[in-house]
Amino acid sequence: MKKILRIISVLLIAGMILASSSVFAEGEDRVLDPGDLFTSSDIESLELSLTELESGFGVKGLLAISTEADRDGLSLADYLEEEAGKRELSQYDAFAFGFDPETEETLLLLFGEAETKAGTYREYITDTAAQYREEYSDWGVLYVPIALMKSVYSRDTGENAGDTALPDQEGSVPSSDSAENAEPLPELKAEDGIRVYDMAGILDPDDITAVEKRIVELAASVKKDIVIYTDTKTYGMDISIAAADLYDFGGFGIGDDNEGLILYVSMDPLDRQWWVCATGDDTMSLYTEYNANILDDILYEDFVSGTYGKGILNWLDGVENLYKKGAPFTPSWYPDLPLPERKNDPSSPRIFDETGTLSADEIAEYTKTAKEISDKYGLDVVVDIVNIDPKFDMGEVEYAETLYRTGGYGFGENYDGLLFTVYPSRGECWIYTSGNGAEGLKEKGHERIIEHSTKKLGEQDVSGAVAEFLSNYGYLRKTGRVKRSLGSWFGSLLLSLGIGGATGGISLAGAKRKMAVPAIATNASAYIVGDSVNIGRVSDDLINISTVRQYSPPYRSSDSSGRPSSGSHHSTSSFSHSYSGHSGTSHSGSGRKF
Amino acid sequence: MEQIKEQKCQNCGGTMVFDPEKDLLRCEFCGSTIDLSQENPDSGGVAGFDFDSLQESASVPDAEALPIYNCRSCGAEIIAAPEQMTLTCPYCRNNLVMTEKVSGSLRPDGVVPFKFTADRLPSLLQEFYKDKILLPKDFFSAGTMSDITGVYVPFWIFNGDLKGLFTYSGQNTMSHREGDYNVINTAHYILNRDAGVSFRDLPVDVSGKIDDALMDSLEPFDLTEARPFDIGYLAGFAADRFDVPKKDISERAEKRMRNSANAIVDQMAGAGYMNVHRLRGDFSADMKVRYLLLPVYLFSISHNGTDYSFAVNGQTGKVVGNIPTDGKVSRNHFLKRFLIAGGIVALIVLIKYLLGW
Repeated sequence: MKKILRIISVLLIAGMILASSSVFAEGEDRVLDPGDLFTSSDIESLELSLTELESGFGVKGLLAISTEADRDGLSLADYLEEEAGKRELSQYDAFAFGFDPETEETLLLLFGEAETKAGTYREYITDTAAQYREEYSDWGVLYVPIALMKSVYSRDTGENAGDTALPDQEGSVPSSDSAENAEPLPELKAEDGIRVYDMAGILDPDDITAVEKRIVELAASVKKDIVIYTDTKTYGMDISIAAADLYDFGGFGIGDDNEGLILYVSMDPLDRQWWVCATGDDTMSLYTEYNANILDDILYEDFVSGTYGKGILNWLDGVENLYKKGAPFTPSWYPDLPLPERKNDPSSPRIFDETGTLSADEIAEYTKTAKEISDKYGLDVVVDIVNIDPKFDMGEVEYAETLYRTGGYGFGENYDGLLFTVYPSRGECWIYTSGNGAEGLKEKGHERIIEHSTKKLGEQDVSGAVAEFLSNYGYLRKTGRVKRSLGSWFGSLLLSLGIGGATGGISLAGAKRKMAVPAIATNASAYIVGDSVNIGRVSDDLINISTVRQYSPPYRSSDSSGRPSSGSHHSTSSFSHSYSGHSGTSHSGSGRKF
Repeated sequence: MEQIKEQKCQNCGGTMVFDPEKDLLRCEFCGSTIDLSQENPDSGGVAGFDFDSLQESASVPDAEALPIYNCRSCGAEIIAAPEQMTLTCPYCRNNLVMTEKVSGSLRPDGVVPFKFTADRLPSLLQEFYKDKILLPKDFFSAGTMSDITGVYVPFWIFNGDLKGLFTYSGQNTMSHREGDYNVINTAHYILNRDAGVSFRDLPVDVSGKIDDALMDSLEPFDLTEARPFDIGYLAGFAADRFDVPKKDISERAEKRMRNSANAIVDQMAGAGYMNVHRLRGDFSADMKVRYLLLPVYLFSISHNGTDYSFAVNGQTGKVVGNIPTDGKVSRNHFLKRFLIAGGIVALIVLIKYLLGW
């Protein structure tokens, strides 16, 4: 009886195995070694790694090590395709890797989703695998594709690739760029005069020329050094350290503090990223996390789309503006640092049209009106039509305050006056006041002035919005109030009618209630004996329980790509306020992956 | 000829009437009085009103069979309506009581005497009109109170004990989150309840010729002031016996009790559950009934060719009546308040604007 049961259970297990969807039986046929070049433990360890890869990421792997003799004269490609065909790997997410130890030829075939995910790394995987033969023998050559496929799939899912060390093997599997085996950092020399080092080959010659030229201009205008370095690796170091070491040991920088920036771009196919390293007190004080994010945003757009030269040039424009004006992007009127001493400048335009919407006649007319109000009431009246650039990222109040302060506006020691800013693209208006500019401008008056002008902006009439402001403000100063719009009066009329109607209606309803005529009684509640009400529970019987599932995901803030956003248009960079390379010099910096 | 009884003064033989102000039977000529509360009413040894043995429907005799009475003072022949228990001789103003209608099984269990005379009616009416601001302006001054009659209206007073078994459906819900889902579990129950409610002293008028709405609106009466029946209380007032089918009145009383009892049990039976609905069940009623005469003044007011009926609770002074609403007065009432309120708002808006607020 026991024997019969044992046979039945074996047959069942065999049936289950046969019925499974895997082309590989447990531990078999994943590693082909027709020439018996591997020991059984070598094969077992490779098979275990392949099984782990399949169970973790769903990708099947086939490895083969064979000489031409082992393959009966077939080429490595034909042999591998034949073996892959036998196992119908094309029906799955799979790869097949072959190695000829005599010719040192390596070949990688990819099937299904594996082609999509790892196709761009095919050459990298086959080249890297070949490199490991000397130190890790033929076993290492066959293991590397497993490790790199695991890295590719881990990167895609965001999971930790985990420890790739195998049992019974000495040491851990080397990474492609570990510190133990890393090449030394290239030695750059500032005195060579080169400022663009394109080791990764991502810039074409025209880009290099343009960037070099721009850096020279920048160095002359702001007295700061800029270095651009691209490579395919970071030499076993963190990219921030590599950037700092290149800059420090290369002797870059201008002035006693070696002021300047280095942009290090790593084109490692499995880990593309850049790092900007800032050196010197001036540079580090300007290269704040906020400004770093703005500059990194510029690089990100172009780097993702592969226009590296354009991105670097745009970045250099932002860097120059940062050095000159304290922010990567500023309005055209923004003065250079240090900010000029504040004073009233009668020559500054009082009707300042950044957009060029107003005609010369309109500007003249409005300037005259503004001056009349200014002279009559002793305060400076200024209008600015803002040409907003998304990169400005300056709040309305900060914008107005900065323009007013730096533009030479305001009378007297309190710089009395007000600035009316118009944002045509947003359909918004704002009023900034200084000193006695707020005089007479109560909340309601302020609200109505904005309302009138905003209405004109809604009709795409920028000139009308300015005219409304000047007219309404003048009227306000004269009479103490701002004219109300027809719509506003109509609203008030409706309110009066509504309240009047409601009052009359409620009062009439109350009076009619008192006119109620006799009615036949329908209940006897007044005759209930006080404590006679008795409701007794006989039974409560559960009949059934029904279940409803409603899909209601919690709110997740994200940008259009689905990545979590910080609430502004900036993505977030890694930022370091202070760190050192191997030289000990202090730096700050920021970086981002792409 | 039917039997009648006259209330005659034993002192001077004059006509005696019940004085509500003094709560005494008083001789109109010599002023001598009798305190009816000290008297033992003579029931003649016959058991009084018995609701259970009452026939289901009252018979209404035709005109040719209307009873004829002789006035003992002047001998005049007087025809009385079947339901009348008292009448006044139209010739000598003698107050007469038809004793056969207040004796035996028709004898009332008690009477709540009038507390005030008809002289108080104008002041009560004035009090009633005070907050009726939509009345025509000349309704009270130009209209006349006519046909003022103090009537003892027959009422059956019901005590009811209602009991029943009821079945309801009810639900309870519980919810929790599972990942991105809200999971709501709803438990469905059948609830079985037994309920009981008792009612006391529910009055229902049993006079077919008086408007039920008027009588219901006169409630409540303080039945603790009911006295054992004595025909002396009827002197000077009209009084009618019941003349409505027993079944109609019983159903009316029971319906009022059921409505109240059902409302209570529907509200309380499903405590602790949601979406409670009655599936089945009703009350059965065990009723006991008394027969009382309750005091009511009736009169009408004529205005613009229309008669408006009024009734006054002869015990509490509560006034009820059908009153007209003047359309013009209503419109003016609305407009006045509309203009005042709307005007105030407009003024505030204007002042705010002028001040620049």
